Amino acid sequence: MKELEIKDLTIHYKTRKTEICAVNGINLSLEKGETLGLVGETGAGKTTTALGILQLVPSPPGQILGGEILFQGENLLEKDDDDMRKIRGQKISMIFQDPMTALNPVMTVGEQIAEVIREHGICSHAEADERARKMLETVGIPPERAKEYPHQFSGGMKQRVVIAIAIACSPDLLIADEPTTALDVTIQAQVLDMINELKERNGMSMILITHDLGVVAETCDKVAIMYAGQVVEYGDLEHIFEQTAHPYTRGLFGSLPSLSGDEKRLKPIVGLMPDPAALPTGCAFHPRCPIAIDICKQEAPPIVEVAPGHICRCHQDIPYQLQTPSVSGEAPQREKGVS
Amino acid sequence: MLRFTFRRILMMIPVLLGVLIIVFTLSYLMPGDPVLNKLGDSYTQEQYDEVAHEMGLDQPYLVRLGDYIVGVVTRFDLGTSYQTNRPVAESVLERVWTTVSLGLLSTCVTVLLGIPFGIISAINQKKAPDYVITVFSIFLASVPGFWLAMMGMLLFSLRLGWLPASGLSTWKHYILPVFCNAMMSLANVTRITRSSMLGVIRQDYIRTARSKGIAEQVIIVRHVLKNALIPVITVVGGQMSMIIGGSVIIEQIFNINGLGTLMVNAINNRDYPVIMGITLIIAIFVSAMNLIVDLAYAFFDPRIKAQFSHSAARKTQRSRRKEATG
Amino acid sequence: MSVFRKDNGIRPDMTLRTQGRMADIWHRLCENRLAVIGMFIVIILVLVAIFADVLAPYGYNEQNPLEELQFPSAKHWLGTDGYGRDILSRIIYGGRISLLVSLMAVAISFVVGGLLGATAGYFGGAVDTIIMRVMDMLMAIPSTLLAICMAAMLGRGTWQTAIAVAIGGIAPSCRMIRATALTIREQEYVEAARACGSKNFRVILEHIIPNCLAPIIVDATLRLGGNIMMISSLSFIGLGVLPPTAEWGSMLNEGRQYIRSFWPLVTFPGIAIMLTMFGFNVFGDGLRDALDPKMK
Repeated sequence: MKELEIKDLTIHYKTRKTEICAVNGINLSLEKGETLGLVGETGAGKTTTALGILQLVPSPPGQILGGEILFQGENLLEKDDDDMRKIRGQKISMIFQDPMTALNPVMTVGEQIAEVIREHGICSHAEADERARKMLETVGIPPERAKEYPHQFSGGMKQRVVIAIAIACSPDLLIADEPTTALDVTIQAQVLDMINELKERNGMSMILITHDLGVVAETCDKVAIMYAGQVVEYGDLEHIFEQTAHPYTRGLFGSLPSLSGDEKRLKPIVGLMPDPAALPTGCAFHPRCPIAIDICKQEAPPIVEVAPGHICRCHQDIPYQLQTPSVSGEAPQREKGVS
Repeated sequence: MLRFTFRRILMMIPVLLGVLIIVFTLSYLMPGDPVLNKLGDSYTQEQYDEVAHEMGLDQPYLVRLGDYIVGVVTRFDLGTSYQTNRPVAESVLERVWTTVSLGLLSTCVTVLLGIPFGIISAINQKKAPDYVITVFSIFLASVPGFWLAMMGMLLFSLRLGWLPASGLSTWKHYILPVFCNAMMSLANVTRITRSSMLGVIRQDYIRTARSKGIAEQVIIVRHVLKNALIPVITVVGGQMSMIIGGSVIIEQIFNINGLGTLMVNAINNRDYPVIMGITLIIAIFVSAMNLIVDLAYAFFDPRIKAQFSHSAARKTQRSRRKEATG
Repeated sequence: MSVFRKDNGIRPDMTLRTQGRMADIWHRLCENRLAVIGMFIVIILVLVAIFADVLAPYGYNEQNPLEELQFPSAKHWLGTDGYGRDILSRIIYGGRISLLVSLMAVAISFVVGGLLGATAGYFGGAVDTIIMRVMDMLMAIPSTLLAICMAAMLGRGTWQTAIAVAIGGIAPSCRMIRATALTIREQEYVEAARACGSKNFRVILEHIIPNCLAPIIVDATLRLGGNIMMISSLSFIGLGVLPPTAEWGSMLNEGRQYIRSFWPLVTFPGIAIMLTMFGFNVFGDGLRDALDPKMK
């Protein structure tokens, strides 16, 4: 049984005038203990997907229009509020992007960690406080700082507190939404290493949302590339990095600087993300695609399995190993600290 | 916290001293000659000089100001009423409780009704209770208290005969003045509470709380309220000053023998010591209330408290520096 | 140097952006139904105030002893007061005086408070401390009380009332503009202007004040309504404008003696105050939402 399986999930934000198609029928799956990297530009629907799993899409205007989210075999979309609450924080928890705003400013950090432990009824009141202090220690903060307020912590420390909250109940699935974007470069690696270590230690599965391919190469087992609310390519890390199938994915690699290569310039993807309220017809990527042909403008591309477990949404039969960026294992070092 | 309280009380002293100077200067500049009021139409120059000297009016501005301040600070001597020859402090203290009790009751009504209404409105956003409360609060925020008082008197006292129209002897007498005085502030507090709640509900940390699996009601009470009430506290402080100002006029309508009536009477008779005394007493009251508001503010918001406690301030600085250097 | 100052590329760009923003603000304002209602009330009030002589069926002091205390009729739509004067006409003329005095008071409090606030925020240090402490003192006295004291000191009359009402508004507007000035002071274009050798006073006038405009407009709109209540409060206790000038508060005061037998005189002027305040409040709130879409 897969730990998490998302089928045809569709989430739109409906306002009076416009309908923003944030997530349009995505399919994802994740085995127990694996890490899935969810990669894409800002506005590709990564965060909405994550909020969709927890059913925290702000509503109104957000609406989950269809699909299934199977977590440990159960469809989360069919659960009522009470059941969903028991899952949040205990089975699935989330690390948010911006640690500066993710903590309640008028509550001590210890209390904020203890709250989630208490909520899921794991232990007594006093014990929860004690466990909160232990959690602080786990994430590398002296436990006596439990009595302090978020404003007394720096950004990196706050993110550690957020992580402590997320893993306090040892969830089965951890969703990390760009956990390092808001942090200084030097702290990014520390925080990421810590998340990874905790994940390994607790045997959690993880969805890591990021736009940093270097981070993906370092930590993920599976990668899903999102574009305009769709997963355009999905597969094992090696598949994505070495047998890149989708032109968008290739474009992403092309926009990374390389230390070993002798390219004079980066090859960025031309154009901008389409307006999610007015997606282009056919393949959403066709206006920016360097190899687009007529059919791309008219018909949505089919889902093609280019290799077992490696899925690509494209009309064109892309020759395998068209581009070989690097030998496996070299990519991580190369990309480290770049973006 | 103790340190904060102490510093905050110290800060009140120059403000009140300043109020004293402002009030004295205003009454010094007021037109009309109290000596003439006292003497009537026929008098000799000697009589005039004698009375002026008796009242201390022949001294220069600074000397009189100094005398006044020394008198107030050392003996709580607010001077003597020109009109009745009674010490001002006496007649002011006699009535101060009436006005203060009206003001405090109105403030209680404002807080105890305004905040719950605002909360109900916010958690039912865009549903029937929200619309009803919003329409009422927008409407009531535009009704002057003294007119509402007259309308209330017309309806409840004169037409229906449910409530007494004047005086302040039983609890029934309090209803109209208190509610009419509170209504505008009540509407304001409701609106501020609502918008503050809605602002907090949108914050990221509320999403964090939801992701912990906490029930929505608990989130409202534990996470939203405490954050949302911080700005409301400041507004209540401002409303309190408005309420006290409003009761000066409300008292006229209901013939309540409080500071307001005394004040208007004093103005009509150019009884400056009384005007000064009342203004000063009310300023002290308002400052004390602001002090309480500030303390409440610091109590609720650890960020403010931190500014006034040494060790915490150093810690904040330290973590800020860390942030800056990465 | 002067060429550089004119051509630093800041001003033209700003006007361009302002135009786009104005259209945006207008659009958002029109979407807010309540704000549109408020705007209509305000426009109608202003028109009535301007054309009071044409619109009012009678003069504001046209006494007629034979027709005193008449209930509403075809001849006098809202009835007559104790001197036989037409209530409707007096309300119309009262609107003119209320709006005028309120506008004067807003102007005074913003000119004085604005200059003080901008100076305090711009220079900081001792200047800031002194100005703000004085404002604290003013804030310690309820504005109604301050207005009453001032009105008592200055005596009755249009200007006197405007000044009395304005005093209470100085401290809040000073604080508001100081806060805005503090943030603007740090901004790059002000640094640039200073680096180019602009005089301090010029920087205040050309950069700080214009950039406080949005909050000033909102605050002024709300204050216009609040001032009208303050003016009528003063008239109500026998201060304020001189009789026989028609003023809503003094009409209510006059009506008080007939409250038991004659309701029109205590009702209609109050409705006029309420509508006016409602218009300004709702319009001001709408403006604030339109100017700052984040709030709401």
